[in-house]
Amino acid sequence: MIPKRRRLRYVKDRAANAYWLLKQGDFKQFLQRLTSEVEFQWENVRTRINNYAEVRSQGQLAFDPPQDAQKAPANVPDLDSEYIDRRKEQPPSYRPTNLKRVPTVVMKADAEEIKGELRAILSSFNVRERG
Amino acid sequence: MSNTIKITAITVTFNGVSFLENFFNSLFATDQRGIELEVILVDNGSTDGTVEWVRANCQQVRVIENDENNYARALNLAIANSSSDFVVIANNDATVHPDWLQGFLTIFKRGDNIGAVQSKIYFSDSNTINSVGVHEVELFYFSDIGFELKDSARYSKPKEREYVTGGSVMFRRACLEDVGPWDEEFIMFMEDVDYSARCRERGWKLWYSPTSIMYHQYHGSTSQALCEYFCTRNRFLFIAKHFPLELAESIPTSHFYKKGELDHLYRSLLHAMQMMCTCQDTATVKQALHDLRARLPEFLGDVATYMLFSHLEVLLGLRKIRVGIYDHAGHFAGGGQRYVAEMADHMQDRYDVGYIFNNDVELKEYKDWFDLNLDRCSMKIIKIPFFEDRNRYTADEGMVLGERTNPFDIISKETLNYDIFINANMLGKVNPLSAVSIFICHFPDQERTRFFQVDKYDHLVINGDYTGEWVKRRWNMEPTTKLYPPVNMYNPLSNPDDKEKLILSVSRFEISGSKKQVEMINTFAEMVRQYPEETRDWKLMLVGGSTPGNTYIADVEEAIARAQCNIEYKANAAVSEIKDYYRRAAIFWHACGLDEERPERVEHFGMTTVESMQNCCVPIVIDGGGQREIVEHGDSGFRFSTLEELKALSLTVMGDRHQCRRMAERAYRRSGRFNRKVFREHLDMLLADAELKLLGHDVLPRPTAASEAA
Repeated sequence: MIPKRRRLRYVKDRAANAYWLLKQGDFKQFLQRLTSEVEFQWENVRTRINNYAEVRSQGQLAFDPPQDAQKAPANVPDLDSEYIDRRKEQPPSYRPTNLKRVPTVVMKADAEEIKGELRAILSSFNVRERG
Repeated sequence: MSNTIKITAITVTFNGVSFLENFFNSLFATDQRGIELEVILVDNGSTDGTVEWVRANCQQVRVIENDENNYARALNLAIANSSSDFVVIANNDATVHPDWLQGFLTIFKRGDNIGAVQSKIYFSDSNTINSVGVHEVELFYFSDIGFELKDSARYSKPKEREYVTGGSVMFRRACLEDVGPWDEEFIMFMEDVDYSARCRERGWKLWYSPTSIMYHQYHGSTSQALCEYFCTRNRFLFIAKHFPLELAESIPTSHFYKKGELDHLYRSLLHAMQMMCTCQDTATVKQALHDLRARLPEFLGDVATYMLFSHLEVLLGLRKIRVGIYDHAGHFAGGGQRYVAEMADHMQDRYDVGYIFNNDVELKEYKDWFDLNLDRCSMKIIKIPFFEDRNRYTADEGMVLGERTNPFDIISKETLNYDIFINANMLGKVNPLSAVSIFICHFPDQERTRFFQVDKYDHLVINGDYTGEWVKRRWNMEPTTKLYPPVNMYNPLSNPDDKEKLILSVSRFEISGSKKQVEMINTFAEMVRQYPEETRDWKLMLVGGSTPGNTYIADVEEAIARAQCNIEYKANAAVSEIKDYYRRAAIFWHACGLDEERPERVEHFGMTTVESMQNCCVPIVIDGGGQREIVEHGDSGFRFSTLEELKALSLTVMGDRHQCRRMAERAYRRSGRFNRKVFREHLDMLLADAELKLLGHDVLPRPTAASEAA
């Protein structure tokens, strides 16, 4: 998800949350969450200020982004991938095609060898395996 | 006649009736000396009256109706239905020059190894070139030769080409038979580039003829967006078929990647990889997979790359589909657990089903709790440090408020190991990373809070309309599937003619009193006092589960003592006992939700009501929550809003044995909508949809009346 949309959604979620708490008359919970939100946001601001100061002190602050910075989707860390975040947000019209079941394909490549290769590839990722 | 050359002209159409008159007029006006021409039109499911128009106005045209909107399949159908010496394929948003057919034949005379000849194609009514052949411009992007250039002497001589366009091309029958059918996986666009490559691989030459001329309306019949989608998608298929070792390198230059359409990129690559395995040898596939492993994380991220390879295993049929069921409260024997255990039982032979729990529990306990044998399911226990640190036995997402990171990420990572992930018990902060995900909501207890992930799921399953209504109001989401809980309390001994004067209530004895047993006792006592004759010999029986030290039991006992009439209660009765009460009871009462304002305090569905109906009891239940969906007031039972109404409606049923019997029969019939058989049928539909997402291939949607109007 692009940062602007992510921020908007975050604000929308928090507002919906606050609305429901107030509507239900749950002021205690509302205040508790408001406090935690303020703390969270303040912590974010402090982190950004600190980062900015640190980078500036090291003379690494670059105001001109690289020319091709916006051309490719950002490479995002584990559990927050661009694909993962965006795949459920597309409107139904996004996909120009429907899906249809077809019979299982017959492989020219040796199935057992490909199975082994795929297992090896999957085990090379740093994610938990099924126990 | 022996010197006559037989030619079949094939044109494929989809809602192109407006083009056909000009096209056919020009086609029939061509120079056909020495030619016996057959014309076939394949209709790909037009809704604009194409077929009717052609049958009425062009009787010499043979019409074939394709059952799928697939251009390559249409060509195969037409070719298979012809037996001529040559086959010419032409777009119909075009007109042709009188020398169009002779222009092809002139070139074929140059040699028997010429398999196909392409026309000179102009943009309509101009001398600007649309195509005089096809060539690769860069990195597997193909372009028409001469595109948008003014015609000149350089295009006036016949030439050999690497690729020809399918817009206007004639094939020698021997070439078509040697190369085989067109690849229907391409659907449309680049199927001609693929076929050209296959022709050359078999040793056939491809040529361009400047004297065979067509005037074409560029994209007259296809939208630019569809063209771009299929060209980008099919580029991967083409590379996988002909240049598999270039697949990884071709990703950064694909339009899907450049435009950030990563969903399209994922799907296209998945099918390209599948195609690669069907047509390449083992060593090549292994090398290509190895290259993709190295490059893909750069474009999709580690998680999606992992998903892609795992998804490929299933698509190739190398393993069973894995289903993961997460139930953070799986150590309790509750209705939610039974709901999903029924799902697991139904799925365990078809799929590789694994439970994920947070607490120590044995699946064999489900046999005792729900009489379900989940032997073929596996399970694993993942403790969540956030709750372990706080000594919380059961995960409570309400405790996660201002944390910087989501404590449920540990479960989220685990979901990667499954193709279908089922979040069984409404833990809304788990981000599903499986290819298909299902969130089961029994009621939206929590509002949207930080780390809310429910909208990341493919399917949002609800247990009834009441839950669905609150999902919309609290989460602003539209449920995708309604799956009533499976209720199976049938007893062959239950008979509407063989009922005792017994009113039954089956509900847990909640400490909070939310099931309203005390109110029911008081109501029955009042009925007995006010209407002694009508209530003579009637008894109220309260049955339900309870926990040790439940203070509400004392309230119940006190109310019964005060009532001084025929009332009894039984906590934690055995299933066999409950079955017997259902068999004997004539009337069933359910009052959970009475005078409640908070929606979560109202019965969301009402499984015990259905159980009673399956045993021919007449249900008299609260008019709220899920009960409204189960009991049709005045038909299969009654619904009340106040205790006065409960009294009045009960007296009506008690006093009219015939009405009681008729209503019991209707209640029994109604209960069939909520039984195990129906549950499993609807679950199968949900799973078919999930499997489609996992194993489905692209097809063009059929136009609907609405989309046509738009």
